[in-house]
Amino acid sequence: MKNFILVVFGILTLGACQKEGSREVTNQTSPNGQAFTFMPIYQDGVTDVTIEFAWPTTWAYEADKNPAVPFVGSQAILSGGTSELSPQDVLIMFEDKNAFGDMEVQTQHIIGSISFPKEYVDEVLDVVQEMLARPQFNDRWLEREKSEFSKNVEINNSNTDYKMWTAARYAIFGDQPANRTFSLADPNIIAAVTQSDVRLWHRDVITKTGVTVVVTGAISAKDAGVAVDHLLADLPDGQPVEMQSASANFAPVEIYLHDPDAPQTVIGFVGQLPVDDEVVLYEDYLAMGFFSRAGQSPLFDAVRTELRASYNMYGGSSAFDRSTPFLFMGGGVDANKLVDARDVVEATYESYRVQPNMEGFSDFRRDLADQVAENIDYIDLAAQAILDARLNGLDPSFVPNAWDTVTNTLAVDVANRMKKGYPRGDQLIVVAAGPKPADLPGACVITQPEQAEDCR
Amino acid sequence: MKFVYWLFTALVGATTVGLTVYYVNGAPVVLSSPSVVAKGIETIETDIFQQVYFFHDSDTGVVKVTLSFPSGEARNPYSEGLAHYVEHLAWANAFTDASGTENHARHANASTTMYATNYWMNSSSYDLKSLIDTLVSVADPIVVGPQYAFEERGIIRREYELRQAEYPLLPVVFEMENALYGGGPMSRSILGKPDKIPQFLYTNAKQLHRSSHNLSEATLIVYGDVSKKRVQSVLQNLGAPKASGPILNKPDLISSELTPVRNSVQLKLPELVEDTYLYRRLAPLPDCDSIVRCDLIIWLSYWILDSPMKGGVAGPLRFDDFVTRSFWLDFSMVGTTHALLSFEANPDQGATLNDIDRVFEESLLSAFEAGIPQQSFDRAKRQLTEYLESFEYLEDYNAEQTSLLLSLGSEVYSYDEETQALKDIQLSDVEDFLAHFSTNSRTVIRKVYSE
Repeated sequence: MKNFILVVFGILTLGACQKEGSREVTNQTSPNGQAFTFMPIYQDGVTDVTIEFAWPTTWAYEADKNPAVPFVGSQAILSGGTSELSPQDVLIMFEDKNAFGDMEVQTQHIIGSISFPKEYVDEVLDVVQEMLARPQFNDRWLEREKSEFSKNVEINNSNTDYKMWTAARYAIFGDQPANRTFSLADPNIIAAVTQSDVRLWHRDVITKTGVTVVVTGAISAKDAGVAVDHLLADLPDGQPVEMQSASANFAPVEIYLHDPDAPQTVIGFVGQLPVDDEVVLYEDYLAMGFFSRAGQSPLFDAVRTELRASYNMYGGSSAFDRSTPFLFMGGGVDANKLVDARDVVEATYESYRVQPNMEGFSDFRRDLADQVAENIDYIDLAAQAILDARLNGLDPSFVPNAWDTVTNTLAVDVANRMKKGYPRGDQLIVVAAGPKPADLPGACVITQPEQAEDCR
Repeated sequence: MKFVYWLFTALVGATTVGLTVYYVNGAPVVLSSPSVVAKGIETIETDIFQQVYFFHDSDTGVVKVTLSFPSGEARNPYSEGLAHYVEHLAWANAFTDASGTENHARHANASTTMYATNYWMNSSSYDLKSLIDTLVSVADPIVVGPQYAFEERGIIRREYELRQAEYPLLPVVFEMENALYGGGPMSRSILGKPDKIPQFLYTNAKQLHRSSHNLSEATLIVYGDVSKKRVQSVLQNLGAPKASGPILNKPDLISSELTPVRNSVQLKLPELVEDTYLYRRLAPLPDCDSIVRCDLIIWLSYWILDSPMKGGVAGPLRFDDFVTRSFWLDFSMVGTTHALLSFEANPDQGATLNDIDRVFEESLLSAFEAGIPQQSFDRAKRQLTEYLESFEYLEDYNAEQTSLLLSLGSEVYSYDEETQALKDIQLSDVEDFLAHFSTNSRTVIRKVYSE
């Protein structure tokens, strides 16, 4: 029954049969001097290894750089094959060996990951090493990647909800370079990518300098170091990178994106989350997750159960880059109740912010802790979590027991954080999109998402 | 500044479920009798339900209970989408009961498919009785009132806007299903059409509910950290089955008079971002000895056809030449009587929809007539075997699969039956199946141009 699919790469580990040193997070140095964070898993049934890299980059923040290049380049590395193996051969080899590779573009880092059974370490790493150091960047494959990427952007740009959030980003960041990476609204930017752009990006970003490395799974520290050196061996030394971040304006504004053909009316709310030196792990996730959880939250009760204006509203916390965290809420609403929906969401959020009813919070937190405990058993997810902790300047030793951190986050901690640093309900940015501007009187009306910065 | 936002994406994932979900058209057919008990699945005797499946898992701290009625959109004689509307009203009705709304609202969800309407809840095992009480109350007569029912039509409209309104190919897909199924009940819209949703009648919804939500037809699935004795005790205290309306007739969902056909049409859809090729091929199942064996043969066939190996379509379409930039392929059972091959693709630069049509058909013809290379079959079987072996929590797997099989109008079978069936399947079984499939099938193709 193939409809029943629930797969996360990696081996779900058994609770028993742990050996000494298993799941201890330590800092190691490879024979060639590359520092890496290491969490071995010595358990019966665990046979896989994950290696994660984070290459720092300022590409997204430089005005003269094409923001589409990292996306096209990283996909071309993954799909281009090697000098001896065609793309099809690489795909078949990875599938046969149950290996998996990925590259993710963030504004401040390029995240690369490779997972494989330890018995295939040499064969897999030989191929990956060449793909990283000497990618083929075949013209035809580059054009295919550009075309795929461009069509996806066009499809996204035709979606009312997506356009609304693009408008919100333009209200926050204007036309600064980083927003072109956050939004990537113009397919012409993708069409303009050349092979020399991609080669330049690869030469400058995929280097040995400043790379953060994490290794998890069924491997010794010594072998992990050898594997890391093998993968980095032929990369250029590169230049040190000074991290940059976007400049955000979260001042409240109300915008209506008018699209006469929009088949629905949507509304979104954005606010800045506090930026300070406090170590914040799960408070914001718990705060916004509890507020907007499906089917039973204050947000759901207010807009669907009471106002009867929406099928479902969503919400949460996220970050544009590691210095720009934010909260958000949104959903499709009855156009005739758009003003009421705006007022109700703002009032419900404000009431929750200053005096939350946390009844049921312990159940919500328990479910989250259970989910974290389950996910941390997967070696690739554990590696991602350790890498994120490292990139955020945290000691990642809490990761193997991250569910404890969740469980120890009290309702009062969440309430205090909201009261102290969350924006008021009337300080949120409000963006709606739909076919009739009169549904939101007083809003700054625009017809293209990019015009949102003119509402400032 | 020390934030760990990306940590959440790695460790948290989705922790809560949506309130109401449904499955789009294209899912399976005929209503099967759940009275055939799968090997390795425990049952509990009861006079109230058609069947009770029990999956004990002492390692989980929760209990999940699902109530499945074998009535979905395909058995709805009223406006298209009314079965899904009834699901909304019945669920709301259950929570307007005075027996403890807040506690019961925990982790509640529901779905409507062509074949079934499922409701499920999970909570701590202490709540078993209240969970079952609430689930059973979805069979109570709907009393939410006309005002609530009127407003709920607006909620359904919002759901349509969320899920379907911005998918330009949806009318084409519906038209294809109409051609494929000869306009029968399988071509109905589960969610309903935007112009029909405002016309849903409360009286019709109440009548459909009375005839479709019969506990004597329903299947109860209990999974979790709770003993069989406790479940039996709760069921004994439920009392006699509640009265309900007359049970709906069970029409043939796919007419036996449908004949093989090839229906290929070109059309323009200006709002489409790029040219798209859509392909559906439907055929009655041959005799495979059992449903589980049929399902596994189809699953293996899918694994081969979708692969870059010889016998698959990825090589000719994506690697040998640049014909498709991307494609999607699916091969699955339709109820217990048919199999459906679905394929969609977008052309690569310089290629056309006619190129896709030609190369895809040639690839299929090769697989159907020349056969599958032994190496490709062995690889697919090994990968599928490893995939099934990767599941460790088999009670959870069996419980989820039971619920899914009922919602897809199939027969219930267990993990053990699944793995045994896979072990027994040989290359000749797959080749015989594909040969039968190809000679008895109805094919509907739409080449949709964006301008």
